[in-house]
Amino acid sequence: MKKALLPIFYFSLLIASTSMAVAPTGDYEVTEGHSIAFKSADPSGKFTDISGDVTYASGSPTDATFNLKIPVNTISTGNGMMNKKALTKEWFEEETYPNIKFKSTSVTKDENGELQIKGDLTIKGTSKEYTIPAKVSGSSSKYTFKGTFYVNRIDFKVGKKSETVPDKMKIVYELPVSKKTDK
Amino acid sequence: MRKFMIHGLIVAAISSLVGGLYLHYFYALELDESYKVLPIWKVVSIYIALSLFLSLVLMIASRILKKWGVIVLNTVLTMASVASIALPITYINQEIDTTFIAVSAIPVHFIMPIIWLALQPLTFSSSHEA
Repeated sequence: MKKALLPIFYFSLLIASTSMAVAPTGDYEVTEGHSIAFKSADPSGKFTDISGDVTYASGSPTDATFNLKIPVNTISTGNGMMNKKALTKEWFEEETYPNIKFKSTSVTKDENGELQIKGDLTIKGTSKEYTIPAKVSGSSSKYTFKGTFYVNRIDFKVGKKSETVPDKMKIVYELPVSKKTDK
Repeated sequence: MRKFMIHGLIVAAISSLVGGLYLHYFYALELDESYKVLPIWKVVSIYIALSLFLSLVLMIASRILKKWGVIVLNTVLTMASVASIALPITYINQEIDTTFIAVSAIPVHFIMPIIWLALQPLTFSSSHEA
């Protein structure tokens, strides 16, 4: 038994150190100042909360990962009745699907230096692959990702087709992240 | 097998300590933001992983090539260490200040290999393998 201790310790340390050695250098979390707004002819509004983890290293931006969560009950349209309606079964069905989630699967950098974050966007239990553009600013202790993209609400069964509410909603977001730990 | 593992563990421990202390005192000078691309924990974990991995390779090489296994591996390690300094020399990052990245990183490329080579006579001086 004692003879087995050294190999066990050796290989455990080898696995642990290798996983740390290949891990991205920057671990960040979403901080105050974030905004995620949806815009259309009618309605427009925002989600007041977004949380999650981001790994990003300026030296290797394509290794970045994003794992984000938006509680749907933080929707704010400027109209209390409309906010309540948005949480009903016809729209976001908050009781069953309390969060909108986005988990990145790959990140590329385009010719303009913008990140193209490909990942799974999950709304109301339905996941679709989306590519979200992001302009990055800041330095290593704090980065801000911002961009604009469109989401087709019908893809996620959020509401029904309507003449007054467009299918495609313009999403404008700003995501400041700060480092979890130093050095 | 045991002596190879012990060699790997000793090299991992000493090189982590030396490398960690070197970077700790270098970064305390606050010359630039190199610590953002070369964090101490990352260097230490690379040293540990590399020391343990190399000791496994050495064990296999020694069995296949006998005494030549050590010579071949040490030669490859030395050449790789020298060649790898091209990375910090050519590193470009326009987002942060990395003026002294080469100064901080080049010694880091030699700490673990030097300790690896220096400890070999001690570790392998005994012909007895437990």
